[in-house]
Amino acid sequence: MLFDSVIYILLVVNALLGVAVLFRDSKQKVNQLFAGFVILVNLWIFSNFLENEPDIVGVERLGLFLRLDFALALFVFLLWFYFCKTFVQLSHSPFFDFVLGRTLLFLSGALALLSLLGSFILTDITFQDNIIAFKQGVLWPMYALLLLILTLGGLFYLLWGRIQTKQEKHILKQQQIELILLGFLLSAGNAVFINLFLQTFYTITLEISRFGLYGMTFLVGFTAYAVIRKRLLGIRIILTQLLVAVIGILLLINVFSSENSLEYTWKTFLLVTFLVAGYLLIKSVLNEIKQKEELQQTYKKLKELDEAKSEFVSIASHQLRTPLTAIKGYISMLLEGTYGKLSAKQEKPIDNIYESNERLIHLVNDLLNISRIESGRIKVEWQKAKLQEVVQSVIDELQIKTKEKKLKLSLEKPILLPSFNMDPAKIRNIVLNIIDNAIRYTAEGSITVTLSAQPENRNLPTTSALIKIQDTGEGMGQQELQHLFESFSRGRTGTKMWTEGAGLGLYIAKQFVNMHKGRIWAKSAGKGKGSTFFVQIPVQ
Amino acid sequence: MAKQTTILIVEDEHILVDMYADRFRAEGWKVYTAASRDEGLKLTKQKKPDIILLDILLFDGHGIEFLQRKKQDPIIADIPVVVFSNLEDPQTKKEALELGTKEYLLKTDYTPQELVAKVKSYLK
Repeated sequence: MLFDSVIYILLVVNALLGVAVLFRDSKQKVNQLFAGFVILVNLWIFSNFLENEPDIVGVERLGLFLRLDFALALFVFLLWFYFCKTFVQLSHSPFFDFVLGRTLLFLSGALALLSLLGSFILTDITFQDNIIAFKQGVLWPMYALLLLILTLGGLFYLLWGRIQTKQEKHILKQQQIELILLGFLLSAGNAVFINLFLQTFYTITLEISRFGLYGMTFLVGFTAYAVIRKRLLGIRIILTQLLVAVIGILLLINVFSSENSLEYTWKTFLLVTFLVAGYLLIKSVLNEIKQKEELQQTYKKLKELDEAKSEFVSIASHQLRTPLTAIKGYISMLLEGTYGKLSAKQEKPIDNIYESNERLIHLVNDLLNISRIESGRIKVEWQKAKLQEVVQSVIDELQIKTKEKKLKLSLEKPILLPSFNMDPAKIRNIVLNIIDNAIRYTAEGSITVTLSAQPENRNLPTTSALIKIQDTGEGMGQQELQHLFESFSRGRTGTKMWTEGAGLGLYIAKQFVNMHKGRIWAKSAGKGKGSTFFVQIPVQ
Repeated sequence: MAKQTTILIVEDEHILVDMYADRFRAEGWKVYTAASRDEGLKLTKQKKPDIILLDILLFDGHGIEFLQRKKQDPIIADIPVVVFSNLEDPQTKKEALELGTKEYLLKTDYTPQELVAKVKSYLK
């Protein structure tokens, strides 16, 4: 009677789970497939039950229910196959899907019919010693093979889906698949244990052997949970809860097996202690999971913000540059005389506008560079180039500026370094920023640039190139030297001299040097004693 | 009589179009202008300019698409193009160069006179 009640409870539980999933979203194909799967599982379990119940169905119908049992098994696993394929959203070409689907349906339908109507799958069906028995028909191997293909096919899709979701970091989907796999393993493990191991090595009753099939409820239960829940707790917490519950139940049963009051008290104490410890364990695991999820959410939000910021900076820079381009272009054409000759009185203010506009352009460029550097979006574009040519081009560009300030800018004792791998645009930017800096902070005198190979001993292979930029400018104290390469750092001298510039150039130069795995540093004997900047770039 | 050099400027900012057109006309060049990618392709096929100055961000599409479609048309595939944009994107630059652009220039780096000198160097 107890065992008979179990089947009815399981049928109701399965049905409720199927309804719950369908109720959640009846339009989803996955939910429809699951509901169909649950219906078939219930029919299968009931059919398996009835095939050994002559008192309910009559002896003459036992064979029919046996055949139905075997026929339904095929459709249960056919639907399992489709469910797994649909759940992981793996689709092949439409043609392949069509052929595969139709072939499996045809084979399953054909073998199910043969199971019901002929003796090709099951033959010599007898009812002896209150158990139905049969012999395997000629098509039994084909039946078994199809069942195996459908079972393993579904498992393959789940495992594939697990790998894909892990690679693509779809955490929820990954957890769902893991739960379904766990349900499958528990069901399969239960069936193997009871119907293979126990039946082989022990004599078990019919009622016990039926539990091999009843284990399908594990699969139904875990799959329903995976489909319904929007947020999953993860397998570890579920297993922890299960384990605590099982041990708790065993300890409770142990309490009731006490023989005296002392034993009863002790076992109750043990149970309560265990339940408290179990509760605390589950709570700490839940907290850990919650913190991990919060971290993941925060990381996701930060990433989105970072991408939005980069996009904003990119668009803003582009939009800012457009009017700056127009101003630069028209001013230069006015100065050039394209629109008629300017008077001497007009030239100077228009030249000032041009210069101010150039400062604005450089500021936009620097801000864009910093944004890209900080978000890791700037890359080194390696190519072979001659360092001397890069440095000379910067010196040529800045000659006009140095002449306006009556300074001397020169490349002294140029040596021919071999071409080596560098990002010429970035090296140019480094040298330009340092020399431009030197021009700003030098009221009179000179700026001297020298290049040398390291080590200086020419018998040894060159490992790095050294650029030295020495000026006769204001010089720096130790405090300024320490913060020189930080962003928005102009030092007291910069403030005192009301020098233009936002203090970004040296910061950017340092980042570019770092990208080349080089070094940049500065020295100064003190205020009023000039400065020397060094840039060392490895030769590759 | 020497043939007049022709240039097509594909640019949707009219202020910049006027500016560059003025400068190239001051050089004695014949200047065609297009404000969109599709108009640019149409004019390229009709006029077959000696060189094209192409912006990247156009209101009806991307300059890269212009380059892709130009490359597929054997009649206009060989016309040299210089990309001239304020979009400083390494990926776009790489794509443009792979599609045969002579150079990818940043607008704020060049005055119109410097641009004329650059464009002339590609015609020699």
